[in-house]
Amino acid sequence: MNILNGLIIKDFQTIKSYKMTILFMIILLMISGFLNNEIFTFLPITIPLCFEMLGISSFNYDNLANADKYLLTFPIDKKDIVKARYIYILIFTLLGSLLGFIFTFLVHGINTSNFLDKEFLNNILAIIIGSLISMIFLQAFQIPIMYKFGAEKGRIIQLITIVALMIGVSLIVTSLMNIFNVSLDNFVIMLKDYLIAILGIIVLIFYILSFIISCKIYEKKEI
Amino acid sequence: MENVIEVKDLCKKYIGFELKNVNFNIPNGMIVGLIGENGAGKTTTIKAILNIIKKEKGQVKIFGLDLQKNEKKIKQDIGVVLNDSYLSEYLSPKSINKIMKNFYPTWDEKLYLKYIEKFNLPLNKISKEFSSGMKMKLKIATAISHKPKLLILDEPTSGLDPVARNEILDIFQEFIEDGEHSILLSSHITSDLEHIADYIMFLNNGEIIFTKSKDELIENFGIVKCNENEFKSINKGDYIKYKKNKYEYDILIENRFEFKRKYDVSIIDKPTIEDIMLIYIKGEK
Repeated sequence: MNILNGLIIKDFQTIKSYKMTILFMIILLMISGFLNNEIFTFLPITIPLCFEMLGISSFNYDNLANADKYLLTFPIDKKDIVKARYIYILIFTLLGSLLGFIFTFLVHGINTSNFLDKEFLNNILAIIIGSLISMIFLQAFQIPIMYKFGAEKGRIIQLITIVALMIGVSLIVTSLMNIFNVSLDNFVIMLKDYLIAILGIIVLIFYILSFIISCKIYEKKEI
Repeated sequence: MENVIEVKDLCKKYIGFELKNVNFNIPNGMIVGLIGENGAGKTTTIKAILNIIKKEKGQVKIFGLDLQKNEKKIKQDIGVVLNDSYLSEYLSPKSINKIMKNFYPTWDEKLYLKYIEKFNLPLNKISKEFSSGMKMKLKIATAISHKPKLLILDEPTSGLDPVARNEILDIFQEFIEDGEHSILLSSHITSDLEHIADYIMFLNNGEIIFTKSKDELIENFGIVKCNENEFKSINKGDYIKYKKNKYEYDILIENRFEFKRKYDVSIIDKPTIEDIMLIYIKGEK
């Protein structure tokens, strides 16, 4: 367990040198939140997304220092390195979602002087959970790509993958709607009670598969 | 004498380069210098010993244990400095301490901080702002603070000024003093190895050319300087290689005392390791 701690602390200590930049980014987003009328679609999506990107950027710091080679001289398994990276990115993504929720709540509360708007809270929570599930789903593809192609090439391939995923997911959803002969609204209403559970399970399966694939890629990779 | 590292038939193929059946032993308590020109295979050998790269063939034993079966156990007692790889430059020595104590149960925080102080490294500054010498000292402090029995160092002195190089060589001497610790270090700065190495291992084109004690190399080897007529009178079996210069021949011989008894040549120089390496690489037979 200490090994995993060490690897996760390594990434947190590295990003620590960017704490002022991160703080500046949060303040800027908060100000934009105050000025933006579309608070629903802005803060609860941009803050988690920025944090998700910060998590993924750990690949770049290690790539710059060529750190993987050095890490392999320690008494650790390659699997530990991959596991720690997944945990670190997940922590960052969760932290981003939590901050996204808190800041949206604060901005809305200050703007409207109403901190107990139940409907608003429910909507925000739904958006945050939705963006969290989407980001974890995205990571399940992003992380193995980074392991396979490296931080440099991986960035371009990631973009292609994101576009391909968006097209793929919309095609699947459209096909399902055609099969069941329902519109998108009805489709969502139909699955309403189970939607988060279904998506959660799908994303969990993808995440576990992603971890197994990343481990295999890293095991075979010539560092 | 017990061997701290035993390498048998180590092979590794890359496109355009091959490590060919590398065999060597490193005795306990010694400093062994791995020399060779750039691209000779020094770093590949080190990476293969550390299991960072997959070898095609061969066996590596460290502390008498098979590396493949006991990798984690062995690596607890090895400190490594790699020329082209370390932790992120956005980490300070203080952060590195927080990280490293999780990897080694034997990590000695006091010892690490003592080295940081001794090397005049600012504890809270990120290493991106350090000079090359300071970065190397930080790498060395990190490598020795879990009290390893063996240090493996890839080009630890390259790119450093003579003062920094000497300071670093002193650290290695100190490390080896009690006779319980060993060092394998690669370098193409052969004068550094003349200062500290007990054995020299010469690698060329992926092959070990020789492993000899430094004293034997410097005390017995010789470079005969002669003209063409003298060169023609020398039996091919009595020299290792020769290099033809503009006006004279440089001939590398294995034992200058025996050679002097056999041939009447006026100049036989005591060679440096660099001279030996140069004639081996550039010379002809």
